[in-house]
Amino acid sequence: MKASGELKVEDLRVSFQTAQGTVRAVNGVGFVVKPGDVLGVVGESGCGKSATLRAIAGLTQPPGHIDGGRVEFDGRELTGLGRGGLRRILGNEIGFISQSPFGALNPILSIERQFRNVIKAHRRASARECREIALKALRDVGIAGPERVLDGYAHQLSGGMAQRVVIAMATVHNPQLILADEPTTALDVTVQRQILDLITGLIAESNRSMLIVTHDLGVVAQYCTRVLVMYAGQAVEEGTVDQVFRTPQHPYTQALLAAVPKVGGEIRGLQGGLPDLINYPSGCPYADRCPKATEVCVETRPPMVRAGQGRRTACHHAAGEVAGYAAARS
Amino acid sequence: MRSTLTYALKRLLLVPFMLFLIATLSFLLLALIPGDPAVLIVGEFADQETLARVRADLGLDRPFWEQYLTYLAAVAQADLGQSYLTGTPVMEEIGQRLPNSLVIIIPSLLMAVVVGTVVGTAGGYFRRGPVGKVTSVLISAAQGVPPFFLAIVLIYLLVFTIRMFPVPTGMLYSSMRPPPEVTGVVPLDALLAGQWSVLGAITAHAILPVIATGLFLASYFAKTVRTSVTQAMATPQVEFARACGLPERQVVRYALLTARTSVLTYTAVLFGVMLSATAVVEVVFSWPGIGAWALDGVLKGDLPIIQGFIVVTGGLVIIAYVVLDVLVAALDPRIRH
Ligand SMILES: Nc1ncnc2c1ncn2[C@@H]1O[C@H](COP(=O)(O)OP(=O)(O)O)[C@@H](O)[C@H]1O
Ligand code: SF4
Ligand SMILES: [Mg+2]
Repeated sequence: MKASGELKVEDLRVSFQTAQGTVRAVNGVGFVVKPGDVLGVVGESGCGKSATLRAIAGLTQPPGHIDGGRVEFDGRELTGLGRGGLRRILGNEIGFISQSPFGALNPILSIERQFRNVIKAHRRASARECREIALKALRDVGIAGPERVLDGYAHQLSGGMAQRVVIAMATVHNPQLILADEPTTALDVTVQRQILDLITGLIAESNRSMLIVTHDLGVVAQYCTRVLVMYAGQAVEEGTVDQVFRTPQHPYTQALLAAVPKVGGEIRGLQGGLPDLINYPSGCPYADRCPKATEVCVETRPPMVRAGQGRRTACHHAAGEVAGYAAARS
Repeated sequence: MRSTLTYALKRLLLVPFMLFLIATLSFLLLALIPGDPAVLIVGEFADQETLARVRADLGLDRPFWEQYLTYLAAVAQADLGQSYLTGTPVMEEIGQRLPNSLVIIIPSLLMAVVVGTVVGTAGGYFRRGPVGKVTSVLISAAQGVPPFFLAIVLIYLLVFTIRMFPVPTGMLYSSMRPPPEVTGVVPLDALLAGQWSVLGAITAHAILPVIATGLFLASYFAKTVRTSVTQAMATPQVEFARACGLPERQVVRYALLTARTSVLTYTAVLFGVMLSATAVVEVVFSWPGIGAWALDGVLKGDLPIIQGFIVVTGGLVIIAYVVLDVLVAALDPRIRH
């Protein structure tokens, strides 16, 4: 019985111990991913997207440390499960797709061997059954000659093929939820689209859900149902793609969208940089870059405020439903 | 599989060339070292005539290049000359002593690989916990204690205090008669004669020197394995293995696969090092190996022994490297294909 499969993250905090001091990478992020949702997580590089994703899957490695928060999946708290309990969920109910397919695949074991290990991690199966399951999984991700891929090794695959193999492995047990960290950055544009079509296709089939980290707002616009904007380890705005892209309420989201020549491109040319994550600002982390910043912004951190229909913004001077903004951009 | 074979053949073709280089090197050594071998053989007070005769016997009155060619030709026929001082053929002596050294070197390398891999893996996997701290201390300690020192401590404790092991007087008990000579290699002759008690004696005598060298070598393996495992645990590969829900023991196995190449490389390197570094342990245990013998040759300036030792150990090291290279290639699909 695979139940609802809802992911609930509350007040997640992750830090890294470095020689310079404690880097506060994730500072109280919370959100919910419901079945059928495809949540896009966007934000500049270094704003804690990957750290959030890893923390959810219990993959945080030293010097990283989860300082607090709750991760609940399908009604179970993952944060308290320990390695063994988590292991039974990962790869089975939650699939994780890495950023670099060649980094993820083992270079020394054959693809078949790796598939067999992944399959046997969650069910009993003979070597022959494993091969059948793996062949089917490879066909499902659009690989034409799965036998050859299965008998080969990672280095014999192209980037696109390797990422298909990773996706096939990560989803071989039909997980309810897929976590994907920039799954296509290593690939060229046409392959990127194919891969994203593929993943979202897998989800749409059976009311599953996905959390996808990306810096490509075009990807969010095309494939996601909801979007979470992160800044300096905090969620600053969340809503449906339509809400957030049409009427961004947070100044950072507005800057982010303005930095993209047209919805469909990558984020670039933002002024300034992230605040110091070691001496984390006590007020709004965006204050030193924000054109709307006032004294209150520097002094107190704006809470994430609900604005109806699952829409949330963390800003003291959030723009309301400013119709004019969307109009000015179109 | 075929490509591995081609690869192996290509590597093997290099061996004669490298052996030639080593022979040249050892010849130059003879030529460049000051001192007159004739004086060493007949003594400082010999008259000019005798000295000249000895020089002529050794071919030292010939032009340099002719000496070089003669030497190469001899080496090519596995003739490494005779000891200046005892007159024994160097090749024969090496043939009898090298196996004795290997009786120590090979088991201690095996022990080192096993112990080093286990300790290094534990150290790398638990690097932040108490296990990691303890292994770290153990590794440093083992690296800091030279094998001969450990050997002396072991002899004191286990031989003279609790009498668990035989007195270190070579390979056999002093009361024991050596096996009938067939090959001249004592362990082999004992095997041929079916004298299990002799083989047992050799084993009993070998345990302490093997432990003394093995623990020292293990510390180096442990260190490389720990580094490799530590690095591997932080790779996306291990992360993905965990993300797929593989059991931790399999995750560690994935991490160890990356360490495999460095362990193999280290085995060949340390084999080479040990061939020349067993001398002190052999001396401590009166072990009739190649190291103690070569050391004696060096101290006495017996050049054919030194040259022969260089050529043979150099050749073995080259072969070990080639075998290793082929093994690594055969095990790694990225090279294999
Ligand atoms: N292993 C690490 N050691 C120290 N700091 C780290 C480490 N990994 C990430 N960080 C820090 O955590 C912050 C968030 O990183 P990350 O989650 O990778 O950002 P994103 O994925 O959004 O680009 C960054 O500022 C980075 O400097
Ligand atoms: S809280 Fe103030 S500084 Fe922060 S984004 Fe809003 S206006 Fe800008
Ligand atoms: Mg990232």
